[in-house]
Amino acid sequence: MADETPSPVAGFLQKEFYVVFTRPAAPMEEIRKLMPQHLERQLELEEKGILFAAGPLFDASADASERPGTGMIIIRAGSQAEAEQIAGEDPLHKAGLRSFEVKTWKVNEGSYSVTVKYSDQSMEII
Amino acid sequence: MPDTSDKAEAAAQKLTRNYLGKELYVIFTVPNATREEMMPVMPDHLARQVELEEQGILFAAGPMFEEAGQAPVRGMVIIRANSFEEARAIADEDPFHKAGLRTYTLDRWVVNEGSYTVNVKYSDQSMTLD
Repeated sequence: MADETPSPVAGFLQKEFYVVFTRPAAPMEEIRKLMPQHLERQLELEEKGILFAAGPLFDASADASERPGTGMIIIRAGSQAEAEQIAGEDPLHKAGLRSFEVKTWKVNEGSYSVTVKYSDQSMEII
Repeated sequence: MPDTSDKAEAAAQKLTRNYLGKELYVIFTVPNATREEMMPVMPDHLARQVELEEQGILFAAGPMFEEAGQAPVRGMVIIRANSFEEARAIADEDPFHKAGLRTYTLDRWVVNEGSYTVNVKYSDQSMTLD
């Protein structure tokens, strides 16, 4: 049966991340006031190696100049509970200004290139 | 104490001045058929994924789960594209989407923060991603 056949993605990366989808639960004016604390927290997570990648999501109808609604934050964690705890400590979530849900994501395919220049210590991600 | 709006805005601008601001497109894909109907097309889908990887289009892709260990509820495929139109054209070419076996939605994602570590060993040409 299907479940007994070898996985079609055997040999793929199969690396688990946790994805936090965060949505506004208060007027933008209120959220904006806590934005510095949220950004500081993001940098702290980056510093600790917890944050894989994060930023706002826009659908096709969204005006690029508008503040986004949904944010997607991809983190490293050992379990769903740990991921939820990390997300819960975001100042915006703590204050109830945004609400969130956490999903597990298994990365199988993909690639990126990084060019690092020693002479000026610059880097470019492609 | 929350800052006043002006003060918060200024502080936020200062914190984000060197942000990456890299634009990617995120395809959320959900089943539109039974697993039995989808499985025969899986090899074609995976071959397409590897082709996108080869072409440098695929940033990262894989199944998404409500909780670890459960059956996946959707797939999340993050790609490099220059517009919604281009991203849609790439998503439409997926054999699952082409056959109507899965449907998808598309969002633009601006990556601002994050980090990763890659360790490459020359001696055995292995790599680990953290």
